[in-house]
Amino acid sequence: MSHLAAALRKDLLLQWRARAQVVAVFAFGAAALLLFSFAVGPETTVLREQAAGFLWLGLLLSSTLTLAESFHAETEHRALEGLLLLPASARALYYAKALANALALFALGAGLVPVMVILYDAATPRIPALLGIILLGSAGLSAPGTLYAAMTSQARARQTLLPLLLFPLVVPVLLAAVKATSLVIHGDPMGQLRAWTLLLVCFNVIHWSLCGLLFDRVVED
Amino acid sequence: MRDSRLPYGLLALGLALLLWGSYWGLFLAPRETYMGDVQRIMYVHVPTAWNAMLALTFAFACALISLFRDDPVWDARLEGALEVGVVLSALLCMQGAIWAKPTWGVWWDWDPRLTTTAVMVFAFGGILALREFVDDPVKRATWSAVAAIIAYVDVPIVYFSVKWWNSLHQTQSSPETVSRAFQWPLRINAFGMLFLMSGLIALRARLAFLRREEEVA
Amino acid sequence: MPADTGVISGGWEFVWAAYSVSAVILTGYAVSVLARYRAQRRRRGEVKR
Repeated sequence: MSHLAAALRKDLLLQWRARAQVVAVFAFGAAALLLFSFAVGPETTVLREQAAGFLWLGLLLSSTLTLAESFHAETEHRALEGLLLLPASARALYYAKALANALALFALGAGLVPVMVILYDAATPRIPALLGIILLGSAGLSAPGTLYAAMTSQARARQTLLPLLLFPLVVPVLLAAVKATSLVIHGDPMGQLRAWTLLLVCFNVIHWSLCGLLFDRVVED
Repeated sequence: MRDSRLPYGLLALGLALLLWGSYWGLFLAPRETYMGDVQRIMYVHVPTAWNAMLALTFAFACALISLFRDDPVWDARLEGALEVGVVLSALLCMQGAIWAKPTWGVWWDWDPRLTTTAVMVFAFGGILALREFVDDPVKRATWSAVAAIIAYVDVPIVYFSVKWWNSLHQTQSSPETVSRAFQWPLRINAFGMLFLMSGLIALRARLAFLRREEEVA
Repeated sequence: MPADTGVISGGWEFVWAAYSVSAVILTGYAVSVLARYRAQRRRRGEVKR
């Protein structure tokens, strides 16, 4: 457990040191949201209806940048081999990295909410619910994303491989998060929010355990 | 290692059965009441669906064994099963679209099974792409096995999420019940495709095995 | 939207399309596997058949 805490501290510190990058990724996400409005047209009703979809698409696209970068230190400086020599197990490394990524994506998502509110006129008073969904969705992206980022950082054509591998897998996250966010923004007369949240939770439980279990095979030598 | 002729036999037998079953389904089977002749598409569509799923399930099994055993034979079989599974799944999507157009008026009606299949084409196709970009055969084997396991576990989740997502709009999905009069051509084609698929996986696996041998040499 | 209670008449062109696509893809893929396999065996030096 102390291994996990130490590794987490390391990853959070790395993220903090790379905070200029975070700003850049946020700018990318915000630009994506802007481009979506240009693509769809300035009709406010349409934009408001689809706001949840745009938010999550923007977050999904930005996540590839964040996730790919998260192993930058390990690959550039061959730190991965060094880390694996330590008694800390690969599993602790995975969970620390995945948690750090989840938090980074959550911050990114939360940061994009005001952009969504402004561009698409999609405000909601249910902020805690919205943040909860963003947290669950970010965690859902991060669990498989961190594993695949570790894999692709060691392969060729890494920039294309990561989204290629990740996007089909996180379709349930996208569907559930968009639906849930939409319900929070527009109202939930039929009480469907619970089902979608449950789906997100299930996805997270399955993938956080499965990817953690398989991670040491991905980074072994 | 002697090269058994079995896969060629399977291919030939599979092809023969498919020709027979398709002939039956196209010309001899009765016309269905509501769907008319369009229903005859089911005689290829349903067997393709069963065998695509079977191929990818076999891929999952190969992935598990490959992770535990580290045996190149199972990695070769994984590659064979993945490629055949992706080809069959892609074919399934095409057949589904051709069926949907006269039935629903659109090429794609977001049917949960077909939509899940489309996602699977990308998920498992992506693993084939991964294999192309990893040079070390041991890493390639381990990583594609890991990826195949995660992708396969994800399939039911994708299916349920698409099903719920579409439930408000979906009127009907592809017909599954086939009445007794129509079962024979379906069964013949199902077995035909099973043999064809098995033969193809076996040959494709041999190809993968030989390639790896060449790499390591 | 086509009638869901009525009868679909005709549609043979779709039936032919489905069967042709299936035939083309399956045979095309089978030929591809056989050809690649043969080429690989030739490179290996065993030109048995």
